[in-house]
Amino acid sequence: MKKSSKRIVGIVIVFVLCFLGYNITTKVMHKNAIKENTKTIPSFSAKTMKETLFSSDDLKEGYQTIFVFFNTECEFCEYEVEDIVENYKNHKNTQWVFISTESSRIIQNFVKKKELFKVIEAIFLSDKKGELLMLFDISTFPTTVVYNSNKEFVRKYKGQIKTATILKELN
Amino acid sequence: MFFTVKKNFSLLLIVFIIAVLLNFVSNTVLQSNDLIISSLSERLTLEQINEFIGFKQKWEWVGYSIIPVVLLIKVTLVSLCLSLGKFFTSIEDKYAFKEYFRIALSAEFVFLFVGAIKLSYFLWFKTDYTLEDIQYFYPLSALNLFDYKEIDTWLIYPLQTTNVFEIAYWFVLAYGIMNLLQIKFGKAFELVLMSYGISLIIWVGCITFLTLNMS
Repeated sequence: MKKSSKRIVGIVIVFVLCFLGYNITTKVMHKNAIKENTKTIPSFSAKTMKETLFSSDDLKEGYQTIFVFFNTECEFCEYEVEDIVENYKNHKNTQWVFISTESSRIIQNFVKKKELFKVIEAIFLSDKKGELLMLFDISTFPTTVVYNSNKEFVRKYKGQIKTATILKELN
Repeated sequence: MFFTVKKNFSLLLIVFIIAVLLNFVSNTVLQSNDLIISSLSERLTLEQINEFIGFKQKWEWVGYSIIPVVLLIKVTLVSLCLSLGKFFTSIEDKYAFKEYFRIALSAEFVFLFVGAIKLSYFLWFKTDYTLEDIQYFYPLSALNLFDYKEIDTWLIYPLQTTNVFEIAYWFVLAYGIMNLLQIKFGKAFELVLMSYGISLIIWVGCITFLTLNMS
């Protein structure tokens, strides 16, 4: 192989390594910043089903908060929601915040279909711009983010999770 | 030439059979239905778990038939790296691709050995395990220094790849290159580092980057 070709291949390899290194570092720093920002419930606001604004200040004090990020077309979200409807009573002093990037109409239909209205202390939010998804670094549906009564982060569950498992973690 | 091809084919067949066998034993002995139920019950309903078990049993053969394909692609890529590695060193050679293929294929036994160790570990030493333990355990790897439940997902693959057997694999490759090109071991190891080593770093970087973006 000629010296010049060798040099070109060398440069390409160095470029690829630098590109990967830079992107990985940037992404890790971004994720760490989000982790730091969500150690306690971060301030946020989103629209409720009545098109009014709900903010983090409206969350009840002294209550455990469970954020459920879902999509009405996701099968695993359906299973998780069904489990919540069945077992939410086992969670004392808990407020459930259901967040979807879909429109209020679609969320409302889902709430009716899955009888989610039965869950007391449930808040349904439409996050059309995906701001809350960015804030909590959500990449899959469903994702459940759990905070204790002091608003401190407990755990993030990616994928379907049973309410009994969350309860075990909180106790 | 005919004998080399025939030899490569026999070796390839042995590697395929051992790999499929290890996978089969691991699936049938280690991953019992009871283990699947207990591991997934924290997340899924019993109905979903039964559905999963049915799906797994129905399509298990696809998993086994993919193993030879994946191995063939892997060995071919490693051989390609090795045969191209000579361009970065001042080594002259007149050998064909199939010679490098044989070296990469022979070195693959290191990873088959890892599979056997992993199987023995769960069969006789750590008999109380979960599906995740099987998934994440890699013998003598850097991941064993951490609790995989406590670290970020993107760190798992790089830590798994940093293991004693990977180093042993490099040595076996270098030994094969040394014998083939009739050069000193140090020079052969340099070729392995410059070719396979760099490719591995890029591969691990790509997987890490993808995991970071998807998790």
